[in-house]
Amino acid sequence: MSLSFNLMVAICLAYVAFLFGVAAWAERAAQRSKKSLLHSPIVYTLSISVYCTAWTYFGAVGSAARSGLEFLPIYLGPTLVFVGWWWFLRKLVRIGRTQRITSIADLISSRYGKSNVLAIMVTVLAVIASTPYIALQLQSLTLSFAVFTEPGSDSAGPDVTAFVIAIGLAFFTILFGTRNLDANERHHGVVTAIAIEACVKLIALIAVGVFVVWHLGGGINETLELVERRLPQNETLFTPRWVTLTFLSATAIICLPRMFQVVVVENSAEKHLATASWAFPLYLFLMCLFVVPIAITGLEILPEGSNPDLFVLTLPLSQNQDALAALAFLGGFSSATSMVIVAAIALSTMVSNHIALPLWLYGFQKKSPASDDVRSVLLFSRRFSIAAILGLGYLYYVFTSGETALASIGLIAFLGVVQVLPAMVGGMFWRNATRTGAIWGISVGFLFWAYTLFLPSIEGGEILSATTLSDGLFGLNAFRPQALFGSHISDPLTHATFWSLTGNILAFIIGSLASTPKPLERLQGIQFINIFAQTVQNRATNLGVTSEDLFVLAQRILGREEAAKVFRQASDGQGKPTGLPDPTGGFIETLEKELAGSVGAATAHAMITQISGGVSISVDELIAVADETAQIMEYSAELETKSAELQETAAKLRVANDKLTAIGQQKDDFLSQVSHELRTPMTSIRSFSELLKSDSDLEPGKLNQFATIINDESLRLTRLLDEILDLSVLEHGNIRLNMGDTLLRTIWEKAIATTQHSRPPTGTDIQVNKDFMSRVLNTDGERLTQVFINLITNSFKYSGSNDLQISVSGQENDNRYMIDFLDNGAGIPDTNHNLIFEKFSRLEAVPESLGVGLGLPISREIMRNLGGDIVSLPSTTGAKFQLWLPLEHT
Amino acid sequence: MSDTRQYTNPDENRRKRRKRSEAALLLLIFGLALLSTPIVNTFTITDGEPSIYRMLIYIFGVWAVLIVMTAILSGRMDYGSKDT
Repeated sequence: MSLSFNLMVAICLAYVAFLFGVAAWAERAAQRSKKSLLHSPIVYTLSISVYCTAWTYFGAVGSAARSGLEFLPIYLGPTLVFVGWWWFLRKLVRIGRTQRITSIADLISSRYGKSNVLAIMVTVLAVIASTPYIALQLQSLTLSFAVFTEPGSDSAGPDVTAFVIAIGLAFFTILFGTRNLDANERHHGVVTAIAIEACVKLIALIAVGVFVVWHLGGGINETLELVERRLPQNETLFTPRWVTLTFLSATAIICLPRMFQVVVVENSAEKHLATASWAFPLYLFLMCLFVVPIAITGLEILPEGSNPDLFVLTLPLSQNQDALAALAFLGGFSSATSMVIVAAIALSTMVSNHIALPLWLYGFQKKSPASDDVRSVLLFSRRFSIAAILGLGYLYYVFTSGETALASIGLIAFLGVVQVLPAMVGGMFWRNATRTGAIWGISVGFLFWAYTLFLPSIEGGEILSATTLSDGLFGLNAFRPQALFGSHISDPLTHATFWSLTGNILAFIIGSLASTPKPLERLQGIQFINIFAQTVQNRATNLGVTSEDLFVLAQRILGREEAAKVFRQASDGQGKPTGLPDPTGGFIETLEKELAGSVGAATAHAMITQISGGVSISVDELIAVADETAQIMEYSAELETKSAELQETAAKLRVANDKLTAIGQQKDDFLSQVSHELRTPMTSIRSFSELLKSDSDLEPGKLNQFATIINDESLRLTRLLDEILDLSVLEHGNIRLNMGDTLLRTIWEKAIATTQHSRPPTGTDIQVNKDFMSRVLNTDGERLTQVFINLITNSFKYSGSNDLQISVSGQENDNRYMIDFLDNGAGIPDTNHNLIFEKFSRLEAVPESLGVGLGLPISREIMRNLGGDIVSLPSTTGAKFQLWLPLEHT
Repeated sequence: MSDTRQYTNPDENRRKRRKRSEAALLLLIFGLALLSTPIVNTFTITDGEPSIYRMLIYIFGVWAVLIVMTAILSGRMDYGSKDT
């Protein structure tokens, strides 16, 4: 064996130095430019692969060698979560970004009214569940180092190795993990280093796999044959345990503190998630591809009793492939270290924000938080937390003496953190989820988990005695930790998962329904649930705080420059060129979120509340909630009004359009009628004048007759044109009236005289009443005469009666002078009383004669211009027209 | 005939977007059904005996198809979010 322990240490140190260099470069590069490789979705995807720890790298092969394909669901679960990213992860990431969430504890606390109790609960749960997991990484690291230790040599023992590793990891994490205080900002150095480690572990595992399949196994077919023969897979794939494992791993990818850190907190652009949705499952796919071949080849080639958890490393070593073995070792080293670093960052953020800082604030409650240097306290507590977490992991490793199989520890941790899931999912989708419900759910779930899975896993019977395990608590059969309430679920993990989550969800729902959320809870709930439909909300709070106080506080936490930047942006936003911004509700909310990025939502909220003189938030928050609802209602009411207005306008437009169409049609009709009316006299004029022209020796009688016809037709044409012009003038109201006192008798006599020539020869009887004959009106006599001429002519022409009688009577009525004009002719059919006033409308029954059909329309226009009107009324005797004119009052 | 080249109906776009996101949900349901329901057994048992060879082909096959489908769908998703 040419790879010695010391050489491996040297290789590790060189590798770590390289990672340091990369991390330092990445930090500097990130400061220099915003757009670089560091912001690419590939780096994001690779950083998510921190999911694949030493548990995957070594443990998956071990699991496959022991229990067949059971390792697969651990990778299928996360695959499904990423396949369905659009429906869950996207919302989670959006919430994380808008609410400036720093950890999973912060998320839960923030959703349930920035509750510190919940934050502490989740933090404690996360630490308890993660400590064994960190210990597991230390264990796998020491195990892989031990492979290179020659028996009987005086190299360091495993405990010392683990200790040195823990110290080294703590150093690296503190150096790059606490560089910027804002946990909400990306840790570029760490993320880049982890991306590189992700590449190394993938390449190493694939390299070992290729070596095993094509060098040791002799090809794909031979390997598959061996798989069929040696893989310990006796059952069908689908079992309750298969489903449990898929479910647990699916939730772990969200709930594990380190996974939440890389997926949600370190996400710099939502579109990166779109890439990761397929790239991360692809990464998992490649990681799993060679697990089975390596496992069965190890079982086949290596001596009986070899630890299958180390096959990845021992297979190349047994074939004296030193370079490959070194690469495999680095792969395992990468898996373990990256997990520990990210977990330590995530946990330390939670511990320092939710436990250390509130404690410190509580201890110095008398002083204002602004008067102390919160920033340095925060830095110190975070660094201290990192060291403490690694210390805990190391202690756990020492006390469990590294005996437990790798896979089971991981699953116990998974189920522990999954207890957060109901509160998280409920908080994102269920409006009535409350703080009380979340506390109940998590507590009940935690108890069930501890009792049915975690405590029984601690060997040696120190906490749960063997009799408790077999006979139940206090000898009660129903309380047997691994067969609770007589449930016969053979697999302890499935058993624990079923009971803890059932209890958790029930308690969560009952607790939520039994309690009333505080206003702040409700506000946060609305913001979480409607994260995609969020509008800017201004909290109508006046906390009675000055901007100076806020600035001092912000400066302590964010640092002078950052605080100045935030305040400058705010005052720019408020349109104040100089000075501090006004402490409006909106600004305070922004500042609170900004601070939450450093110290977590609950603490930031507590600080702001405290600095504002301890003003009770509840009333203000109530107003805010009411305000928001009012805003939404106002908005929708506005929309309704708008759409009603639009409909109304549309209806008006439709009416106007109909009118325009009708008028256009009328105009067309009018034009065609005018042409027709002009055409008839023109035709006879033309034909008779042609006759005169061609036939020179016409007898004088004929000559005279033709000339008369031409003359008559010309007169008719002229009259027609005059009437059209007249009508046009009247219609446009451009007529000039010669108003003056006129005796109606004069008008009447003039009209009779004018119509004398067309009076029928059979004799007519015209009667006019006295009032009419003696009445003097202020009107235009010329025009009124025209109206009467028209009426009389019509009677003469259309009455069709041999014994024509016309009667005209006038009387005063209600400030009007009413004139009834009656004849005993054929009359007008009832349906045509309006039609006769239309242009060119001649009644069909009447033979065409002199008139051109413009008489009545002109009369009506005249009457209207004179301030009165004319209508045709139904009558039993003949035609009846009623005219009226206004009477002047002086 | 009206010219529709310039004008894209916003309702139509919204409908397409919704359809794409529903397709993403369908893909998830397919994945769940094929990987964590008894359907797994339907494809991996021959003559009443579980076949390891078929198990490997089936699981990795479904896995690969899911990855490809997700890649195709994700590229067409319209997330329109602000980046920092």
